[in-house]
Amino acid sequence: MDSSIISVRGLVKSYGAVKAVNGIDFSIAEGEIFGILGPNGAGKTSTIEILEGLREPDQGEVLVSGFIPRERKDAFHQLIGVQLQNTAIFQKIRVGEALDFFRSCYTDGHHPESLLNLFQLRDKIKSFAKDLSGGEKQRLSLALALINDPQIVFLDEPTTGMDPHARRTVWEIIADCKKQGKTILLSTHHMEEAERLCDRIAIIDQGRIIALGSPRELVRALGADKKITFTLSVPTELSLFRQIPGVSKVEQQNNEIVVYTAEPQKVLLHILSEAPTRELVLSELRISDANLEDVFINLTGRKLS
Amino acid sequence: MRKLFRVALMEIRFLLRDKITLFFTFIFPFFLLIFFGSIWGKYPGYYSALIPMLIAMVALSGGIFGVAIGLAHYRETGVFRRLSLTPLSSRSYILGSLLGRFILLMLESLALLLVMVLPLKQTIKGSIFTLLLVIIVGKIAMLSFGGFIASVVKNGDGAVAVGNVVFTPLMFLSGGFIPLNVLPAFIQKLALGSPVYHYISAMQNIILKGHSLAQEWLSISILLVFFIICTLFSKRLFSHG
Repeated sequence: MDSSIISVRGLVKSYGAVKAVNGIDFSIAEGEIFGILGPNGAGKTSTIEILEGLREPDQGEVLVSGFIPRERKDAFHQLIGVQLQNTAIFQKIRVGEALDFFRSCYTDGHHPESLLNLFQLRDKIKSFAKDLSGGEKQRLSLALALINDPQIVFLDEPTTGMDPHARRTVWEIIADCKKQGKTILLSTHHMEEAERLCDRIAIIDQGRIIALGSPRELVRALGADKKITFTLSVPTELSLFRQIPGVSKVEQQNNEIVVYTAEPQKVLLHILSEAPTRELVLSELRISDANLEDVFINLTGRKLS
Repeated sequence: MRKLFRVALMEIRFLLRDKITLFFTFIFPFFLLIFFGSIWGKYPGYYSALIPMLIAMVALSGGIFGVAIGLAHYRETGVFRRLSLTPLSSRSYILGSLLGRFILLMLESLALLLVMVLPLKQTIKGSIFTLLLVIIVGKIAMLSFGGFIASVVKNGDGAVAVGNVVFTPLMFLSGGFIPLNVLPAFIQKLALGSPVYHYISAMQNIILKGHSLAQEWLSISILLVFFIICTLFSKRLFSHG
């Protein structure tokens, strides 16, 4: 094992005949935000739950700050903060009571008042957990994950069910946690979330890591960081666009053509000059940056979500 | 220990917020007391026999419908999984939760005994301490039975189903509602294996006949053995989810 704060080697976890995690290796440096990006059922939650100590791996070694998670030592639990994928909280507890109760479980931590403000739950302090909206429950769950001021935070799809405003607030809080030196492992299937927050990302599919690196590295590995997207009036062979100098890849996504290139202006001019001679009419034309969704499609041939 | 009491107090708060629990713990026994009392209350010693039955009934329903369904629901909704990620642990929470329910059930029992002694002017012929000891042992046994049921069912619905299946026969065999001597001989023998029967008869014997602890050793031992068996099985079978 190396000096990383989280170290995973040869992790395997099966449920019956299904191999949810199939030989995963990665390590996370202290203070890093590490993302696990993948579609539903890719093995994200199983991996995180093994790191939290909730599940026993079938094979492999896992160390979290020197602890073997499954041994469930109090010192380990004092060190970690966890937000589970499904908000698990007493139905008849009020928001303020939940924060007080979870704080009382730990020897150190934040004052519940500060988290009420941070997660915009002050006006819900007397509300029962069962009466909260999906986004409010998720915010409460996040507040409970941070109540012990943990050194390592595990967030399993932290913004699921949140509106865009609440999602951005949570992103700011996660970024603040990094500034405080916390190490964060988050799973998500929102590529924008992964791109915006993570220092490094493991793209996972069918229990295996299929790419690992910083968002920029992963996109750069496509061989092109821009994409030209458009629809055509008549069906056309994709090879027509593949022949254009500077084009690294061409894909058909539903009825849209996506052309990847590092030289978007040159390639676009070529397409536009060729179109009239071939009686092609382009519509919904746009140039954008390639992103992790494109990386996933490139690697698997499928969309992420 | 402090954490245990904190959990117990929180559990009591949850229970007091639940109208069904409140009704069946604090209102329903008094409703039955008034109802049956209005019919048979004129017979000497009737209330002294009825109140032990009510104490046992509430303890049994608290175990079966309170503990079993409550724990199964916590497991189903992931509460135990979440608690297991804190230094408290779900096992400690279960103990605190049982303590909370025990305190609430004891308050209900004391209220029933007070009604029996004060307005109904019944005499406890035996030792009040022996009676309280039997009440405590019986409550612990009934609550542990709830823990056992929660260990063998998958979810809250399963706990409701099992609870309904076991509650009625256990109360029927307790001799509380129907005197055992009017039932067939094999059912009378079957009743001797019911912890609820021993719970009720021990309380009745102390109140009505002035039995001592030594005279009730068999009933108390059966309740304790029942408690130990339920606890051992729960410890072995209970899944935190």
